Amino acid sequence: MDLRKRACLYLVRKKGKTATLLAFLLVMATLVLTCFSIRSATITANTNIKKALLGYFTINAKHLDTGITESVRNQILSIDGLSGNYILRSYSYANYYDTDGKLLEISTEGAAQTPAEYENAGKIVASSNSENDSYFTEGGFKLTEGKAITSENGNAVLIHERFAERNGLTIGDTIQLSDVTDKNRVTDVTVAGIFTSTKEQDAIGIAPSCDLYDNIVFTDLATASYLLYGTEDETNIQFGDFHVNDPEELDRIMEQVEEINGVDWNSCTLTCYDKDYQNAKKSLEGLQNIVFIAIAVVSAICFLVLALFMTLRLRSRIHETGIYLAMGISKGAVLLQYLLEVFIVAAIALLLSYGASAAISNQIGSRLLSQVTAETYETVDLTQNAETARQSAEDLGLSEIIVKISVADYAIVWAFGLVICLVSTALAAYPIMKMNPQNILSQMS
Amino acid sequence: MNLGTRAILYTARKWKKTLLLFCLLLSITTLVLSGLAISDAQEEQAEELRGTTGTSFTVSRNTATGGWGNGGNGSYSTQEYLTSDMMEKIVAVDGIEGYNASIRTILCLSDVNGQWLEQLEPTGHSMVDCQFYSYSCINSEYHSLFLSGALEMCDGEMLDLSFDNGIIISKEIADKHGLHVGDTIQAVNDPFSNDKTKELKIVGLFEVVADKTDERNNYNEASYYDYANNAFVSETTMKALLENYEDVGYASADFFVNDPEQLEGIIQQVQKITSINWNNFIITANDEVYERVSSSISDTGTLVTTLIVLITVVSMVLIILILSVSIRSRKKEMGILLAVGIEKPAVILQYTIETLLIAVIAFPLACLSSRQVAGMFGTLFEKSAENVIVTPQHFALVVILGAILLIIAVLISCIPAMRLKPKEILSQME
Amino acid sequence: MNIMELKNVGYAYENKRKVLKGVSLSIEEGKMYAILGPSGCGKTTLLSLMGGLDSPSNGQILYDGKDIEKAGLSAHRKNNVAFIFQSYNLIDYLTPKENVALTSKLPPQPILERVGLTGEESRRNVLKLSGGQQQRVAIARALASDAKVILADEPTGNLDEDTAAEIANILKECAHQMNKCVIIVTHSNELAKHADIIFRLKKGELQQL
Repeated sequence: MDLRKRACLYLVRKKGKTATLLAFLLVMATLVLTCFSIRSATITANTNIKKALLGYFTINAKHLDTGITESVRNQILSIDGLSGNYILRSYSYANYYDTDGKLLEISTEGAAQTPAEYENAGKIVASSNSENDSYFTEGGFKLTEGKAITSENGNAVLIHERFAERNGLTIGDTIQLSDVTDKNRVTDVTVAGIFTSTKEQDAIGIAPSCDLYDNIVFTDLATASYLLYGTEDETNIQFGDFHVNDPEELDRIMEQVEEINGVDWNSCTLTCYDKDYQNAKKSLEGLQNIVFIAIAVVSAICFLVLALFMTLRLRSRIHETGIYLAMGISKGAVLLQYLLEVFIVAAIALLLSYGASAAISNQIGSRLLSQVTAETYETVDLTQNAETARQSAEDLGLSEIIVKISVADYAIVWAFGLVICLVSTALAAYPIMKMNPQNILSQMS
Repeated sequence: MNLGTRAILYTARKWKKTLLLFCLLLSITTLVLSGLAISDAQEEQAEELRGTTGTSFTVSRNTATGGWGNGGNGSYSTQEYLTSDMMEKIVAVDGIEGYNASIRTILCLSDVNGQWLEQLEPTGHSMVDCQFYSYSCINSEYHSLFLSGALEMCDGEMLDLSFDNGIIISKEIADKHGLHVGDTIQAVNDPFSNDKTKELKIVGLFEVVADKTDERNNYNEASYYDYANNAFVSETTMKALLENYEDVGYASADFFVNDPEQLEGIIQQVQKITSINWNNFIITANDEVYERVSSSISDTGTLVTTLIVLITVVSMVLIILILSVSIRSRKKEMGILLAVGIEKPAVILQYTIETLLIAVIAFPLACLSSRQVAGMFGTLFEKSAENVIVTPQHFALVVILGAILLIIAVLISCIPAMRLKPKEILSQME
Repeated sequence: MNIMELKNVGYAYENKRKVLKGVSLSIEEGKMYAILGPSGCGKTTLLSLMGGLDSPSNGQILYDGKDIEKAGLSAHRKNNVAFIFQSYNLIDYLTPKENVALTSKLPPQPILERVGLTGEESRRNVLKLSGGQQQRVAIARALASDAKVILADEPTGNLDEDTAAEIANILKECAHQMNKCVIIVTHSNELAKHADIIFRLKKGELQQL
């Protein structure tokens, strides 16, 4: 009877022992596999935390004659590591006219002074989305009528309700904006919305008339670009806030930005904003380390326990070994038989463990908040302005945390698992193999 | 021979097997203990991480419920102000780490000889050029300009109520005028009135990080001053400088909490303070950063907790499997013992005692080894593991649950043997 | 005086095959009995019935005049009978002395000496003893118990002729000098010859020779 047959017969006939070994290996493999899937899931969670801490850098190109052109912007956006979220902004001043070319009236009440040439001018604020402008998010501005301005609608403006009242303007009316620097850039814009200010302007008495809340006009980037740079088909901008996926990479990304040719970066100011990340950095690393150590400890002890268990198991087969040796079967053949048995059971266990750990991983996954969008945010009801600054998970572009076993991890568990099983069996068999048949038989009880 | 003696003899004579079982128990207990310590460390770390999100709530005057008055530059709210007394009551609520409220004024700064200090980029109007936009602080650490990272301390220390003649100015101004931490300068609110001039010691210097020329922030009074032309003094200093003016209190104050998870509860506690008329004040939560990261932090928590639960469950299964293997190999011995007339319960009890004998040594050793294991892996992979600490509570938990589990495991492992019918005993042995 | 009595004892396996058909037997203290028969004839079954390891399909087994099933099989096993096996069945982590002391409070050394083990041998690892010595330990263990009936299943099956004869003599001494009742089941005529009374189990029926 050759050793393969003996191995198979042992496995089939000693059903209880085979089942125990299978259960043991299955449990171990499942634990280690689940460990690995948890590890990669925490890496995703960590990346999400870093991303949600919103590191970004701002390019201030106010002093560039042409601002930041579209081609430069595209080059910036192609840099690896940007999250794809960015806000573009431009600021200017413009004289306000009606369609007949008649100057519109601004408010001067409470102004420190009305600068010459600015008697009918106000501040122009343009951004990718007027809703995200700091006047709205922090300064207490609120849209009362119409729609916010995004980069999609061109030639549109938002005006203050008192400015609208003063000049008899309503939504849909057209006004003219012209630059105050005598470059004769005039453009027609449509009133797309009317806003109000809910906080008093505390710069009363200091601010010039054009900066008063009443006189501020929000418009789209293309209009601002025309007023600032005279561009027709292209939109150049003064400021860009570019969010990155990993705030840790901000320095690298900013260096890459400054390598873009054709821009006088010395005249620009690049500022990185990662205070939240810097605050959290140490704790975040600590958290990652703990997860890492947990996985390392579990894996190491699992393999240790596996080796010990194999030894324990083989010790109960001294008797059988003695019989084989007494029958003249070579030690090598006996050892091979034991190894083959373990190999067969380990292979089955590893196959089954994939299903088992996939099921467990699924269960874990379903308990994660990032997969339960409904529960993403609990708002503190007590806050009066709960609706502000509540970004949903989608807005942050967080990745869904997938608790899944990667092929690489599975391969590692296969390799390590088999090696440990076989080596520990061989090691456990070593003392038995070293004995001569006589000793073994006398040990038989 | 009593079963205790048998148990001890077995443990001692079959020392190789005992050693194996001991190693297994030791490893598994170490695993569970490390798991518990890791789980706690994770929670602690997550709490620390949540704490770094700078979550706060703002108590501000509710101008909507107050009256309005007229004068000066238009209408103003006559709503009551937040007093120091109210703020002290609020900060006494558990879970609040610190607070800050500011009075802003424009101070004229001069050196000890009365020579005006010039701003960073002077306009040329002598009386405007010595004006510094100044904030009073209860604790400058919590001032929004420092919290947001717009300004960063580069020398000296932060201000709090204990400083009654300290000032923080920008490094650029200090450099421009050859000033250093420890130097004395003078400040006055309005040099053209009879406002008192006070000597102040420079306690700290800040560096400007944010880009002030970014027009994003141009909507308030402070926007008209370069960050470098900002100054910070303590509340007590400000009150002394403004002694000619009515002390109305604060329009708003920010309270910072230790753990954002507690924010809601803390706000509720604050609203229970009856001496404050909450009709006159609004509480706003500032927890955007926390809200953005909370789901990911709690996901990490869920993942680690699941891992620990999994470890514990697997350990239980392993112990049962190991003991059943070990006891199954003693079927024959069990048969002999039964055949010579020893009762089944006595046999089970003997096995239980043997297992517990091993556990008595393995458990305390596991406590020691698990204290080492996290640190060892930490050092190995150059990762800090200082807060992975095995506490006596963990140990007690493992000992109690472990002992119960071991007894149950022995009982479960003995089931096949106990089911053995007497007539099978003989055939079992041949 | 009859210590044990089998009355018309029958036994059938679950597959209805009858191995014992109405066996009746009376046994006395101070005597050694041998039950001869080929393998598979039901010898061991008969022994386990007498030892209270199993109950007969029909008939009665009386010990001291009482039905052992009514008095309790486990109590019977514990108090009235002791087994000796072909493969000795010693506990391997106990010394001969400790094996003897397993269920008895009597000092083990005199009993071991009585079956021919020296003091040094009594302290050795049982696995390091020869087969004959191991079987002596097993006999000593049976003697140390209070049991009046010693049931031996092929006690010399693993031993050479000379040793087997020694063991048979020891068992006979147990019966005659210690007033025990020794029942041996065996297929060996050599061993059976040592017995006072010999039965043959054939086709489920017992015949005295």
